[in-house]
Amino acid sequence: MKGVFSIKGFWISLGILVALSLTLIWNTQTLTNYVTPLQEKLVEAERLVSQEDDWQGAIALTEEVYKSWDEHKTYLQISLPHAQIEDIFSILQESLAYLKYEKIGEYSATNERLLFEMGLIYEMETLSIRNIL
Amino acid sequence: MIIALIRTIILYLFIIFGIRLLGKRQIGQLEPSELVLSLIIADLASVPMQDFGIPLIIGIIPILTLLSISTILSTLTAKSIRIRSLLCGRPSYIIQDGKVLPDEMKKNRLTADELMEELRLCGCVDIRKIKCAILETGGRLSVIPYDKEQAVTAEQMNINPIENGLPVIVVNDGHLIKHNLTDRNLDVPWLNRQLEKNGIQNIKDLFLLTVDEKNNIYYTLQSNKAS
Repeated sequence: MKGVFSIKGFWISLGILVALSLTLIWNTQTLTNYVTPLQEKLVEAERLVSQEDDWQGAIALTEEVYKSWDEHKTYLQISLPHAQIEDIFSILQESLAYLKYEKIGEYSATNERLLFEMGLIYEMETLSIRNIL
Repeated sequence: MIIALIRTIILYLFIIFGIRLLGKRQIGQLEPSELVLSLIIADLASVPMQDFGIPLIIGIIPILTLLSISTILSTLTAKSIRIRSLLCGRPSYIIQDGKVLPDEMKKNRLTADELMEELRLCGCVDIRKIKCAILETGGRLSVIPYDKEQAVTAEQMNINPIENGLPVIVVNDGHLIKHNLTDRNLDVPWLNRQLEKNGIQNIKDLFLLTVDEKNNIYYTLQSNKAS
């Protein structure tokens, strides 16, 4: 017998495909909704340093981002490659170190890298021709 | 390394369960789409098995997707001849009325050596004695000799052999399969009488016992009980 082609199996399979598609689209949206505010905090942190010389404010915001990333680690590691998650942890720690030593040039470069890496997380999951191809 | 062990078990069970649930019973004679599916699943499963940095779900989602698509296509090919011939192709006559069809062989990229090999495996080496040979969609060659070349049947000889029918397994490795016994309208006391008649003390001494439609039994003892 080459395969059982019951109508029940057909509908179950179709149901699985539809459920998977919807779940993954929801997941992409959830990631985007989660990461975007974190990016906004990092942008605000950089603004505080460059325009108001408020290093403590920037540290507080960056630490908030770090804490949030840590709290969501389980979800992130289930849905994303671990290397990506660990990279962002590493860059956040680097960023905090530069903030504590008030190294503005290094901090800005690190922050830009952090924003880029975080953007990649949901951009890679976004439904687009570029990503499919 | 315990992670590798657990991931392997999870993925293996998932694939087995998924294939079973979505209706693929055997991977014996594969259609092209089924062969592609098997190869891709094997590759997809191996990646998260070996690389702990990749979430398990990244292997599971593509496998689940492939199994679902495969089931959908199986159903569609069953319902539509057009889709079936598109996905599986059509069987091709390679030999017809004792003559090889070179055009069909070329179309199917079948060489003369391959044809002769298949014929030898079927035990039909004289092409003139073959009514037709069909290259099936799975790649197997079905060879049908002329009726006059086929073995004589009991009916042609006006012989009426006794039909013993299909034997069913009643005892398997010492375990009684009761529903098979009741399907034959038999019961445990009947089985016990048969065992007594054959000098068998206990069902657990049996490796295999079958009963056919005429209630003839065949049995094999466990290796430590066989004399």
